[in-house]
Amino acid sequence: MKKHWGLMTLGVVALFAMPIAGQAASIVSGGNTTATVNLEEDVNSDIEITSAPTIDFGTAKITASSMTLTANSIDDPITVKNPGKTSGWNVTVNSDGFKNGTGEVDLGATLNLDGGTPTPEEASNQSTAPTAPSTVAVDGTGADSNVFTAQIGAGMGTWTDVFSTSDVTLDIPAGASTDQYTTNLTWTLTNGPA
Amino acid sequence: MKKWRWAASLLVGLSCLGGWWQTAQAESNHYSVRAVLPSNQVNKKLTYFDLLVKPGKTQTVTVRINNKDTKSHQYDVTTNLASTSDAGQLVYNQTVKNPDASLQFNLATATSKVKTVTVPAKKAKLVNLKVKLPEKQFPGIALGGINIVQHATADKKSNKQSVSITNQFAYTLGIQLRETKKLTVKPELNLLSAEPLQVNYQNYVVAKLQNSRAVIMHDLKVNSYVTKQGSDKKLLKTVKENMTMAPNSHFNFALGDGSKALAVGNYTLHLKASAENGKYHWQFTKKFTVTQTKAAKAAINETGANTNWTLVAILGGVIVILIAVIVWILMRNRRKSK
Repeated sequence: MKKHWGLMTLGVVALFAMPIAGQAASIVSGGNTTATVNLEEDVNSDIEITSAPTIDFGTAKITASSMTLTANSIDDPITVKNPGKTSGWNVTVNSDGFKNGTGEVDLGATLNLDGGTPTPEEASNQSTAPTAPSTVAVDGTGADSNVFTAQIGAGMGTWTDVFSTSDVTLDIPAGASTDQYTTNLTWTLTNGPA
Repeated sequence: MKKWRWAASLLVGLSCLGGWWQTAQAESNHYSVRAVLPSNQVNKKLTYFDLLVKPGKTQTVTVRINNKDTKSHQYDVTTNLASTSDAGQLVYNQTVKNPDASLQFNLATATSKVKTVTVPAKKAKLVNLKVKLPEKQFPGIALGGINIVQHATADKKSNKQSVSITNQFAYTLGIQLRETKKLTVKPELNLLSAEPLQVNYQNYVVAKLQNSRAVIMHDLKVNSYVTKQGSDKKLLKTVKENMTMAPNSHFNFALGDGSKALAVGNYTLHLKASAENGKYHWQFTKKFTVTQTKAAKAAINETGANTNWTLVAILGGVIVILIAVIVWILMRNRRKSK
């Protein structure tokens, strides 16, 4: 009896310990802590995109009728780290098509990344928030869609664009053959005249 | 009771493990890039190139790639002309195969070709690109983007997912060249054509809009509709704001929501536009015809020619057989019970 309570306690402790471990890892990978306040522009750091969502649509079988899949899980937001550059930035995303194993069949699908919510890593972030469009449709043509934009003077520090699973869907037109499909999403951080 | 406790603790433990795995798999990016600004950079505060250049000279632009990963990576460095997407957005990272007819200086073809650069683990590397400027002075700005993409590391996960998605990270650094410090060129909008078109299985009428000047067109607002010739009834009314056009570029502005194709006939496109917060105004009308073939093509896809009739027939057959079997079993059981 006692042993079981011990196991449960271990489980609960693990529950709290894991997110901390995860955070520690992301700080190391970013190579950039936000502990110091530095008002001078850091010439040795760049505006970076450090993560993008990995979207899992699960194992639902694709059939010949039109269907909409809703994301099963999304593990990360879009994360942009800006060490204090004022010229603005923009994140776009494109897809190289939703192809089957041989690359011959394209699903003609559209990925919807709706309801992106810009959130500062630190609640005290005073800079003007970047914006995310309420609806984003990424088709397989390779055309880029804006997903996360900071105007000139906005989006300082670390900002994330958070998606909830219910707002990320995949529209599949009718006539698809039952198969497994893959796509490559390219997330591009652009610094340029807006 | 004991069994229940065991199950509960195991479940808690497992769910933690699941959470941990997700964190470990999180897709993150481990490189960054920077525009190394030369002395002829107009504004040193920018994070992209804005260079004052001279006709006939060769300009070197330097990009720094910083690989923070624990392994070596390869990067493709390409230069593209700035263009306008069909959503009315400025695009810096697409290859422009057919530049707009109004373009005088093609920055992409004037810049050294694709380079593949290997950057060792935890190292930064400088990449030099050369831009050959034309002898004749070009007006306004030449605008493009230097695109840096890290080669995808082949980690084919075995999975049972119906649609699996992999992420790749890229950077684009804008490159704007000018030969006069003060820019006086004003944007100009033209309506090149109007016609029915199918985009991604949906039917639209598209207006091909052109910015024929060497300057970015900001805050483009378009208010448009289609009428049947000789009628005042507004069809496919579409209003769109906050669009931006690249210098010397065109894009297909789509009218309608794609749900309905126009019947065969003669139509007129009416289009009003403004830019730079209403500083510039334009107004266009253009006649166009929906012909039999164009209408038929659009209609076929509208009514779902993709219905798989073989599948429907097989499914129908299976259902009929199933019903027959059920009826037979029921009859037999009834007979037996009697």
